[in-house]
Amino acid sequence: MKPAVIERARESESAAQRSSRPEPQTGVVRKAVVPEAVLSRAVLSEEGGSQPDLSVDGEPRRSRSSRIIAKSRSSASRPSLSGEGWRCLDWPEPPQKPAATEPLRASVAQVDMDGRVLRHSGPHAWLPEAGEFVHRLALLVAQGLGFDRCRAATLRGTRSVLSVSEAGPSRIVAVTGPSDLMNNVLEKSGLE
Amino acid sequence: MIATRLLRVLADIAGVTGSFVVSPDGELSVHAMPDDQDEQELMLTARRVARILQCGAANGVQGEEALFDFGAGKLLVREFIGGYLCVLCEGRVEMRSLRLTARLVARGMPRDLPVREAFAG
Repeated sequence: MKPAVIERARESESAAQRSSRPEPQTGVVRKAVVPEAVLSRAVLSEEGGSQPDLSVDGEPRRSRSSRIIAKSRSSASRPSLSGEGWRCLDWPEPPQKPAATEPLRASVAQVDMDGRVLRHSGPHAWLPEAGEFVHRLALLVAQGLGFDRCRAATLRGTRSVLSVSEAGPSRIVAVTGPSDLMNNVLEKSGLE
Repeated sequence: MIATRLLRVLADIAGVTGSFVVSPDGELSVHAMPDDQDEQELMLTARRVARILQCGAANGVQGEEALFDFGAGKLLVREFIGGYLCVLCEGRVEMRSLRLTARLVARGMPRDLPVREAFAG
């Protein structure tokens, strides 16, 4: 019966406040107004009427009504019910899936000079073809600048690295992966 | 022109034999290469360098820096807002100072460079 008194006091007060103050028309938020004076008065009157009873072993045990009062008191201390704050009545947005990111593993591919894939491991499916393309163009760059061959070509990006190097006379090795995993490749090439 | 003056700064580093600037499309903008370098060949090389970096970018490697090791020589490529700065050097060049200088030079390069201006350095 006593909690019902508190609820009625809240409803009458909040209805009076709603009618007198402007309110946003979005339908998303609603101002929850419960003045401290009204709430504390109701809580105090309720506390005066309830006494802790004793259990069989002598330990004090609170009754059901006093537990309800304690709950009301703790909720009154929340800022959203203090009569000043707005609170959202809608459910929050469901968590969105994280955006697709680069694979966190490195890939290695071995390709012969004719473009045939000898070995390939890792998540980057494009690596053999791109490695062969980069090596062919890098060889042309070398020849255009007066050199015979290109031993290695290393591309360092903001987050990932691509390295293509000769491994013997007839095959090339291409490696790619996130920069964190490619420090040894960068050090070897001189880009670290 | 400011671009050619900046390329002269690179020539002060021991081991640097020449440098050139390539637009994002692969067009040769400015160069300070040795006299025996054929300019037509250099224009082709510029396009190929740009294509290699575009290949990396198409596969998720947004190349801000690249290094080609030719054995006796190296080509360092540094991306900047107006294209790519390419520095040709000997194999024994000190990479740390070269990279630092190339980064500073690339930062000072103008955004819109005219295509293909020869410089006899």
